[in-house]
Amino acid sequence: MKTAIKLARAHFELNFPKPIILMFLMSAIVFAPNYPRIVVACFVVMPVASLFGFIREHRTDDVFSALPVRRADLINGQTLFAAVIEMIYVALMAVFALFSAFIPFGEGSTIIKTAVGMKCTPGFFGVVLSVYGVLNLVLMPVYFKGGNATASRAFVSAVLAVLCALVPYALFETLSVIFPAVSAVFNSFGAPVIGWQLLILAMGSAVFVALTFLSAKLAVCAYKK
Amino acid sequence: MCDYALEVESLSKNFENFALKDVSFKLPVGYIMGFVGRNGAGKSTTVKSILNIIEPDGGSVKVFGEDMAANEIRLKKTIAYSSGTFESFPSAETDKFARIYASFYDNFDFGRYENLKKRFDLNGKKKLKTLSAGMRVKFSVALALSHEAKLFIFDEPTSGLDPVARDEMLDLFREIVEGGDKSVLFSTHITSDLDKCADYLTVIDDGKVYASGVKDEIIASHAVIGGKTATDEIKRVAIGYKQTSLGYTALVKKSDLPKDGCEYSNPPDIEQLLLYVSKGNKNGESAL
Repeated sequence: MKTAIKLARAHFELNFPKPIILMFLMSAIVFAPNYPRIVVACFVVMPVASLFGFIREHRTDDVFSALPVRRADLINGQTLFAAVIEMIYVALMAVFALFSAFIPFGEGSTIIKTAVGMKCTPGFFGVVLSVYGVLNLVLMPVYFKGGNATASRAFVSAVLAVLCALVPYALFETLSVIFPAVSAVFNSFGAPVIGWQLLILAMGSAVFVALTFLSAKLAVCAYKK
Repeated sequence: MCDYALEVESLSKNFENFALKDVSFKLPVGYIMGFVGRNGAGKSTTVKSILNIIEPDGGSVKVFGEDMAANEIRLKKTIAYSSGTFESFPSAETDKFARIYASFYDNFDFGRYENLKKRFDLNGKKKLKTLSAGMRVKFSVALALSHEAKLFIFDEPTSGLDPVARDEMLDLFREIVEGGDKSVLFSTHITSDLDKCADYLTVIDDGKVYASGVKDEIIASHAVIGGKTATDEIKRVAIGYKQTSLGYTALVKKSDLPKDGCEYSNPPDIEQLLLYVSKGNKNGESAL
C-alpha cells in the first residue's frame, strides 16, 4: 500500500497538467437549476480519462516499471490516483451544492425541481459514491486488460464504466418513483431525514472503498503483457 | 561473490507478429556488454522482459545470482534502467523528478546526486524537455549512480547523439565499470559504439540470439570472404552473402572456411557481422 501511495503521489506530481483543473470546475454546474445532478457527478469521467490518457501518452508505465515496484503496485497506484481524483471532484461538487443552497433557485429552494428527482443531499452523495464504486469496478479491469491500455481500449473502458455505473443510480431512481418515502428521504433537507441520509452516505462510502479495492485486484488479474 | 551480474536463460515472449525465442546470454560482473541487432530484432523487448516491464512467456532471469521473478523489488534496487533519451514527463523539472525517483530507493544519496549534477553540468530547475538528448542520458546516469546501482541497463542510449556526445557516453560507461563491481548492458544498433567500449557482445536477429560471448572471440571466429562467384558450398556455409556484378562477399564461420572460390578472407567488424547475420541467406543477389 505504501508503494501504491508513492506511485499515486508521483502521478499527481508528474502526470497532472494544470489545465485539467478546469475539468473539475464542471462540478459547478450544480448551480444550474434543474440540471440533472447525476449527470454532473458523471462528468468525473472526463478528468479521470484525460489523466489516464496523459499517463499513456508519456509512457509512464515504462518508467515506473523499472523502479523497484511490482506490477500490482503500478495498478494499485493508478487506481488510487483515480479514486483521489473522484474524491476531489465529489468534494468540490458538495461545496458548490452547499453554496447553491443559498441562492434563490438553489438546492434549498422549493422552486427547484431536479429532472431526476434528486437534490444534492447527503443521501444523494451516498448514491454518487456507490456509482463511483461501480465505475471503478468496470473501468480498471477493462482498462488494464491484456496490458497497458491502447487509446481504443481506454475509450471503451470509460464508456462501459459509465453505462454500468448508472445501473445503481437507475435502481435508486426507480425506488424513488415507486416508493414516495424513499423520494422524500433523498429529496428533502432537515432533521427528520438527516439520519437516513447520513446512513446512506456512510453505506455509499463503504461501497466505494470496497468496490475500488476490488477493482484494483481484478485489474491486476486482468493485466497480462 | 557472484560471477555474473545478469544471466538470461531461454527467455521467450510472443506477440502477434513477433516472438522472442530462447534468448540466452550472461554478463559477467565488471564488464560492458553490447546488445546489438537491427531495428525490430528484439533488443528492447528483451530488455523490457528482463526488467519485467513486459511479462515474459518463458525463461528465467537472474541478477547477481538471484531469481528476478522471486526477488523483483530487492533486485530492482540494484538496477538502473534508462530507455532511449528519456521522453517521459517532459514538463517535470530535473530536481523534482529526482526527488520522486529517490523516494523509491532507500539508499539514494542526495549529496552524491548534487556532485554528479555539477559534474554533468545539469541544472536542477530545467525541465526535462529542454535537456538535450545527451544531457538526458547523463541525468539518468546521475540518478542511477546516486542510488548505488550495480547493474546498468541502457536501451539505445546513444541514439540521436552526435559523435562527441556519443564518445562522452561511452567514456562514462567505461568509468562505471572501472571499479570492477558494476556492469553495463547497453542495447544499440550503432555498432561503432561497441567497437569502442564493449567487452562482451550479444547479437540478436529476428528474436533469436545469434551469438553471445567475448566480443573479440566472436569476431575472431568469423571471416568475411570474397571472390568472383559464390560456389554452392559457399552459399551453403555462408551465414549471409551478397552477390553483385563485381563479385561476392560472404560471412562464414572460420571453421567452415571453404576450400574453393574464396579469393580473400578478413576478420569482420561488428557492423559486417550484424549486416550479414541480418541478411542471412535470403538474399543472394544485389538490389543494385
